[in-house]
Amino acid sequence: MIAGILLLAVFIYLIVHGGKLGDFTETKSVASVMCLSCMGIE
Amino acid sequence: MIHRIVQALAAIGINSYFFGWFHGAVYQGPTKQACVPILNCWGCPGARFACPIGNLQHYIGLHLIPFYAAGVFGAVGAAAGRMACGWLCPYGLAQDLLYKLKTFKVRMPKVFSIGKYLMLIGVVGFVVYFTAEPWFCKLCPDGWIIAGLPLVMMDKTGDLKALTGWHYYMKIGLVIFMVMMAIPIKRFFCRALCPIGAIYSVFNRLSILNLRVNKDKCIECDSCQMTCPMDVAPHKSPANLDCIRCLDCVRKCPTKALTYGIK
Repeated sequence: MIAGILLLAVFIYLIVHGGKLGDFTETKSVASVMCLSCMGIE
Repeated sequence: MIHRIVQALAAIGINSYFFGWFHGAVYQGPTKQACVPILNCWGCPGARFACPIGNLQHYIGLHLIPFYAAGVFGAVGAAAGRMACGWLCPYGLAQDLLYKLKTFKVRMPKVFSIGKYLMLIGVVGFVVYFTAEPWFCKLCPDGWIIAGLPLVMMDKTGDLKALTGWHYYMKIGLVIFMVMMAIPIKRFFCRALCPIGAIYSVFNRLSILNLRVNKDKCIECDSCQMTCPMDVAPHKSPANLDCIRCLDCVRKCPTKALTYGIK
């Protein structure tokens, strides 16, 4: 359980760190357009 | 029953941008910043959240460290292992329902389970890194089912329809193949091909929440394995890499030998 809690803390830190680097905004901008690759369109 | 209700509510909630379903538009609101912890195409007209594997590929393709996607996968995995696969994934729900069709059933050889790790390391990792193209998205059947099919069908201008070609038809072929495999084999895609399942499986032995077996109570009737949607034997291996913590086995166990909680 201790390993799990430590891992959880590390990964939550990664989310926060990614957010500070602008990952949330980047994710929104990529996710808000029609993904042609996903749709199977070239 | 509760399990199915949660799966259905998750599928609807994650894809609850109903305006998009009726008008062929993609949601662009603030929740698109958040990645859902399961496979759900962000190109889907109903999707309110981002796909974590799409996010992961985006950063790998740019040769940047995917802090956010790694954090989401790791936090969910560290808390509950593959539980998100069992309770939240709409594609998993579809496979569970397809397997209920009354036809001949086949057990998938265990060696096929390696496929999801090859998909993760090979396609999501190396191929995306060297080509800078989201190759898993190009192959993902979920993308055609909930994005390609509805958006092309609702395309009023004809622009999208004009762009359909070999790739679109290849995806239709992949979807047909996945459906044909899901009918006789329990969760074929999750066990053999899903890179998200591959990531979470690593955490199954370390997660805070875990499955436990009381050997004194277990009568080895195998009812847990028979009910398991991933065809694992929880009484022999409660932290199996393929266990999705759906807890069907816990409910089915006649002697209550299986329990789920903090390890």
